[in-house]
Amino acid sequence: MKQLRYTFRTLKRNPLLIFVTLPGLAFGLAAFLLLSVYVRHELSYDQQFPTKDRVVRIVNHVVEKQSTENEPICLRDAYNEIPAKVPGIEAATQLYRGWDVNVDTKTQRFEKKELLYADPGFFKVFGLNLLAGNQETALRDLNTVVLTGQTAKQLFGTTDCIGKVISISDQPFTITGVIKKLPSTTHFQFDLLASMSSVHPERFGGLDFFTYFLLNAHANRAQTLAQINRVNSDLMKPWAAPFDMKVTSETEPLTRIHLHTKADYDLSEKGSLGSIYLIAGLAFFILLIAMINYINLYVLHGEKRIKEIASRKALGADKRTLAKLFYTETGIISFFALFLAVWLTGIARPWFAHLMQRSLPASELFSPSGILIVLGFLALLVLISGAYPSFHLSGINLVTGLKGQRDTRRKRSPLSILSVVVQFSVAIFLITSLVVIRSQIHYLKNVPLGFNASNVIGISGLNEETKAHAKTIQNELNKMPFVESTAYSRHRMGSGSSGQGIKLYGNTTGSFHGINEYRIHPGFGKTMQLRLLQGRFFDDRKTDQQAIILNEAAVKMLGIKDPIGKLVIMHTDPMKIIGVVHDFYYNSSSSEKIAPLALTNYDTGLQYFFFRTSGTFTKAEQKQVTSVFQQYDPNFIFSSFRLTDIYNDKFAGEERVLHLISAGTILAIIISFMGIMALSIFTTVRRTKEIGVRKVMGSSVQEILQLLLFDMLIWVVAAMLVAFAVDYFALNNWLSNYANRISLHPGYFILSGLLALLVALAAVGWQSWRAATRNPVDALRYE
Amino acid sequence: MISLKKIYKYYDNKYERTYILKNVNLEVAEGDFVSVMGPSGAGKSTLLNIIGLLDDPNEGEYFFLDQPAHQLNEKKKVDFHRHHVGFIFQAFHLIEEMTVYENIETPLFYKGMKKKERQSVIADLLDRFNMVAKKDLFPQQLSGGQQQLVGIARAIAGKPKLLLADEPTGNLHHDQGKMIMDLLKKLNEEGMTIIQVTHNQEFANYGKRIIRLTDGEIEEEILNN
Repeated sequence: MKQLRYTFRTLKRNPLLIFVTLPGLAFGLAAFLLLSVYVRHELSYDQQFPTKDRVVRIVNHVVEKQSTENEPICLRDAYNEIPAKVPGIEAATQLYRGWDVNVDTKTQRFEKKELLYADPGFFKVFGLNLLAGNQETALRDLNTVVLTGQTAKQLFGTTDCIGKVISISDQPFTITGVIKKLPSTTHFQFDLLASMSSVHPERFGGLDFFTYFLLNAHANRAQTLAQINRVNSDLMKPWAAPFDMKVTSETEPLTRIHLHTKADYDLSEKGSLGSIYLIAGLAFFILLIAMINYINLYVLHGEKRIKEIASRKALGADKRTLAKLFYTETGIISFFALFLAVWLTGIARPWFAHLMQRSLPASELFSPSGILIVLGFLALLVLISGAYPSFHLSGINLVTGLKGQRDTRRKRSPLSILSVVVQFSVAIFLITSLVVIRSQIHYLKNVPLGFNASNVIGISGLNEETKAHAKTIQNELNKMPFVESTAYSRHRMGSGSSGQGIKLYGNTTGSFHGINEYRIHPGFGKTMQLRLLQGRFFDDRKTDQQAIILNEAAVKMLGIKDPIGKLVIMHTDPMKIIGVVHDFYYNSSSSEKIAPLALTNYDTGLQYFFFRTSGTFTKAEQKQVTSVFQQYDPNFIFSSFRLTDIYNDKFAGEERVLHLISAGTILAIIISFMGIMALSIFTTVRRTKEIGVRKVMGSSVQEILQLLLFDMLIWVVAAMLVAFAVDYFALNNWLSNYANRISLHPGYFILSGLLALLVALAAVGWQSWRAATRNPVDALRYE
Repeated sequence: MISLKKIYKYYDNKYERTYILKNVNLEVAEGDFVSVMGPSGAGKSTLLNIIGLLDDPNEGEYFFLDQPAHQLNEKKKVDFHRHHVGFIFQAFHLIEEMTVYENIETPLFYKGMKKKERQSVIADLLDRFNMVAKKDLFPQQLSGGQQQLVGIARAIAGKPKLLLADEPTGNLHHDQGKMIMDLLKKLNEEGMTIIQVTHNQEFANYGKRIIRLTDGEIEEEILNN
């Protein structure tokens, strides 16, 4: 209690401690708390399932010549045959993606609900219980569906809706169960879970099914997994043979899927170990800066009170009592800092939740494990910051100590040098990374897409009636003055395509090449403004249904010299090449290479309608478009997307990380800035007399400024070299993940180096200026 | 009580040895009041520091109460500071974060005294020095003379046998200095052994003996009656 009082007084008399040391540490701790939420969130994926340790999923590694594709999906046979052949399997389910659908109740339409199909074993495999309904039979019958509680409330205002009928994409489904919505840390999400038997039988032939098994707790795990792999590899053989591909199967434990899956894609955005390391490193570095700052300032503060310590010693204090003094004092200050940090974290919560794009309950922010880690760091901090003064100051020479002096020959302690170098290394490292990552993302966004995405509006959520009259609607829309052209298609830009095999017609010995397929209709090429290299786009002539348009990559893969008019085999029939288009970014973002693509025109179905406007698209014009669609679908709601948004969204993950790094960098700069400023205040005060004497001896203000600034800036430059070396390797490594990338221009380093120098100059400049311009008489009277 | 035998203190430079104290022999009996005088740099403060075990001699022997003080280890030195000696400084050296009361309490605290006991000791001292009303003030709220009063109260709170005063009046004006010296004299009359370093002849005369130091050597010793 007594000590608490003294500490308060010490703080009150030392504004540097209150305004720099305390908040600096608090900022560091708050940043650490917040960033650890991100890390913990990523690490907690799929941990909530009671059966998590016994569930595995199959991944197929499909090898074709040099390239390997890693598919998290299986044939339907995997579900039908593997459980019967492998004894250690207790339950099995497959998931089939139904994408976003519209749901109609008797009174209302709800858009963009996530639909997933699953087998009856779903609940057993994942150990889930229904809130309502019978989980044995819930997913057994044709056209039955289980809703999440959230969806049920939205649709009916209650979860009591068993037996009601809803229509999903114009198909009637009976509700057989309600289940609690899965937490956001699940690698699959759904609003509606329909029975697998409701999937159109035509679809069961393809490689489309995410396959999960619950292993028997008593079975030999290694043996069971080996059996699953072997049986599935066998099942894949007939599928792979015609393409001359080889498939090896592998199982992945459920809890490792989010971060460690070998699959190229997944049911939800894959976690990135790199980002986790990045964010964890960021959190650690910010805390490190804050801690070093704190220790350094506390030690400097200790040197300032040498007189007090000497007095205490003369009064009979021994090493132990002094150590106790330092430890309790730094302990109390750290405790205040923790308090402040918790408060800051609370303030930053909504902003951080917005950044993470999800809700962030306080319980998650202040989890026991997070608090425990922070307390651990604080304990370490108290230990170090208390130890230095305890060992060094309590051993001072009392005679000089009482005069308030201590080894005046040394200008700067190694600790402050270390503090400057470490802080600025980290800050410069972060600044450079930020500059480069920002430029890279900017660059990726501006890589020409190969077509014109601006002013193209897409419409989804079409009903069967509308689809049947697509041609008529297209003609009507084309008549509108603000519409430049229209198109409709099965696939859309920026989204999934169909995987196929292709080879030149007449090539009997060669094998099929893998290729992506977009099924489109005439008008697509013109609306998207694809750029023809040779030939022409599709038009309405009958023969075009057996025609194909390839992109450059596909032509190169097939090795065709003069492609127009040549025949290729895709599916089973020969198709005539009528055009070649320049490569354009279709389903991949510009971070990857453009894969071979075929455009076809035989599919009568469609998912999307597109139209290119001549510029602005007003509300009145939207009404006109809506009225056209409403002729065929009275419930039609204008639900559109812009292609530009879709392409920009591809970098959402990168941008989220970028925002985190930006915030972290700004924080690191603020903490370093405050730390260096405090350091400069301490050193200039210490050198007040020296400066006074120098001025009396005739030194100019400029010379003194040079002296003081050089003393600090030389270490900033040293820090720069360290940071740049690390940056060069780290950033080159990061950039190598991208097919399109900027090169590490020296300009980036110069820019961030200048920025760091500016920060350092701002931090020490003012103090130095004040010291240099002070009347030397005042300075000398100081003694 | 104090016996210094052939005490030398020097600093070695590259080419020569600079002597601060040269062959100092001094006996101080219990109840004595010694004033040490001399010009700047004569070694007065160093002598006092050696007696107070704040500094070690390079050569010579120092017996305190017949114990070889020059051989004490760090722990014993702390003990010495706690139980046998009180310091008064020219610059007061009060702890600025502490009130008057708490400053006086510090040595008692280090001595391991119980709270009740401390309260009564401090109450007596405050009473004696007429500072009861000021006990909750901080040093910087007091005048120099009052600060030195607190310094003395703090020095004698633990009832030391020896009081060492390094220019106790150096930072005070004359009237305040006189008040402090009167107080020291009174303490001496009550049996406290006191050694003070001073520049001021008038204040030196308060002592029973005056020792004159020049260039590290005792030049003369005057008995003062």
